[in-house]
Amino acid sequence: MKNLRKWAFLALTTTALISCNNDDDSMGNENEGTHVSAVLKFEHSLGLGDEFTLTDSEDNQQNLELTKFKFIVSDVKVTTTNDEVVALSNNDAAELIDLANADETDVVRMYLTGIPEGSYKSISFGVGVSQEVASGSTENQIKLMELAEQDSEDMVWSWNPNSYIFSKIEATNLDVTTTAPTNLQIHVGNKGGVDGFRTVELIFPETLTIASKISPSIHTNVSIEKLFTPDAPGIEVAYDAIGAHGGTDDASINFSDNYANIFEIEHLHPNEAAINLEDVEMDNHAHDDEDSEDSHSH
Amino acid sequence: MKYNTILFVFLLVMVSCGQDEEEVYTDFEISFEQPANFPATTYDFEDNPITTDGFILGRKLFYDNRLSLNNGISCAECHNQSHAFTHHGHDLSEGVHAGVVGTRNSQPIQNLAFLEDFTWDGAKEMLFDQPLIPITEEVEMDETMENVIAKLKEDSVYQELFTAVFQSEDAINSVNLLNALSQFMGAMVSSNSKYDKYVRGEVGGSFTDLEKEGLALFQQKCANCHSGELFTNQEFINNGIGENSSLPDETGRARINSPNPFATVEELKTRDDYYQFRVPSLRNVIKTYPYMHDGRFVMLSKVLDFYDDDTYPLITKMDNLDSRLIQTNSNGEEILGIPMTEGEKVAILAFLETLTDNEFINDERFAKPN
Repeated sequence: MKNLRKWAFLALTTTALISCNNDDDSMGNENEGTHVSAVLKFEHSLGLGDEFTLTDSEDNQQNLELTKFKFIVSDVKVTTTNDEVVALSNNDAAELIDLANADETDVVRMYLTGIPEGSYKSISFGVGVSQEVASGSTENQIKLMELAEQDSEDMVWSWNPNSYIFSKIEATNLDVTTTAPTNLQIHVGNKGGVDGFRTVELIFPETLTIASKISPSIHTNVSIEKLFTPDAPGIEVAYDAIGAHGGTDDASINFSDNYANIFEIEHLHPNEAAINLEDVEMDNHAHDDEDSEDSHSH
Repeated sequence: MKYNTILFVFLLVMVSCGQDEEEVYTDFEISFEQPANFPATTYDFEDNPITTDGFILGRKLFYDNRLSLNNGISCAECHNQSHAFTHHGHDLSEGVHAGVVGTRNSQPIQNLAFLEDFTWDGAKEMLFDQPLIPITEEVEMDETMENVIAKLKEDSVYQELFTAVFQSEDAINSVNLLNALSQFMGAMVSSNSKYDKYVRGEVGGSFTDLEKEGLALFQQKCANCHSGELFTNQEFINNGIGENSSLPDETGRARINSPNPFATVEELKTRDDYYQFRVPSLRNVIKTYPYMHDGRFVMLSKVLDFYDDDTYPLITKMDNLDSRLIQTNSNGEEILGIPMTEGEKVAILAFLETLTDNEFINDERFAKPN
């Protein structure tokens, strides 16, 4: 009897869902599955376990080994060549970019769906979660909260008004002789009146066409060291100026500002074959990097 | 048979594409009612309206051990209805780990729909995500949200309830879990104490002379901070409660306000919000013993002795002691606290007794469902 009820429920649920489903999937996708409109490929300058050198506040060079680098992406928007801005829902497009999930070339892919067909000139996204979003509609935070809660709430400050940790960078100090502060640990959020949320805008080097028959990718370099040594006019931040070692608000602000400085589009792969989200989720991040020269356009 | 009826209603809801149906499967209805003498609500009714079925789901979650590690305890472990949803006489409370206690006294769950922020240090500004703290804190429930969600998804009853309440397929997720808890807690309004009936001129609201004297004294001596009908100005102040040597990591509001998530206790001690705590509501105060953020005073009379400062326990004067607790006598000498005679304390205590809301404490809608 109980089983019968269960099946009846399932059957009716299915019926209800089918009859209620207002099919909005008008992206011209003839195949079953969710067409990937574009792929944002983040190629990091460092992988986990890589060594790098930063300058501390006493001008000493510190040798470090990267152990964690991750950030939340939210509020993705693309702009058409006609200056129309298309905002993607955070329940679709928000993502946690975690270097721990990178492939052997330190690339982490982010799959964008539901972008209307057309010609686009730029993309923007937030690093972290804006206060507006965090204190706004809870329904629009379903995916963001799931991302933040991965790995035992690794991107959650439960005791902070804005629950989201926007980004983390951690590294082990390899310089055993130093008397300076030891390991690198910088976590950014909106805490104590210092809001580390920043928006990044990337202009495409050429027009990006979104169409059902292709899933173009946007190959973007992520220069992790530039968080500390940004290009002008960014302000340099000593690696021990914030975080565990009692920093200043100014250093935190400068460091957050530098997030906008670390992303740079390398090139587009405008004509890559169409893929479905369900397929890439199945072999999650197991892709080979198909950086074939013929698909480049610098 | 009852189960069949419930299931049938859910099916109806599903088939009719999730429009609000009659809640025929309950013997009561929840609708948020604004007490005449209360301030405006802060609860976000637009984002998460309180419905009867949402309330029932939230209540089920509130009383469900699966929200904690190894299914050890539920929210109700430290929030007992008989004590206005505090932890019956505990200063601090054990979580899921035997012998490991938290650092703060369990606070009442009442009138949360009117509060600006939550917990003793104001860590949260929305009722919505407050439960993230107790669920994930190691000294409390020490569970991950991912695990809670996975456990609930194994339960077909929860699948049906979440789908019915949030009207979507696969509705068990962190946001909906928190929203259901919010609906339950948001609906928990305590507004029918003898005091309320007195100010509203209702039956059962006649004060004795002593209670009237206590009210007048309270307004004169206590209501600067315990103000309004919630009996709190919702400020964070250093009230002179000294450091607790057994809780050396306690910094009060400083930890929340510091921009540095890794700030040390020594660094936080230099802030002017060090050891500031929320001015608590005094509703049901007789039932919510012990008192202060760490529950160090068992008796309410001790709290008055503390503020009086004539006898032990004494006020500790840190640099940021709230200025309302520093006065100057006629000789130009500094006096800490709030001078009260023993007779005045008796009257004030008599008044505080009138803040007990037995209807709230015995309201079966808030009790553990059968």
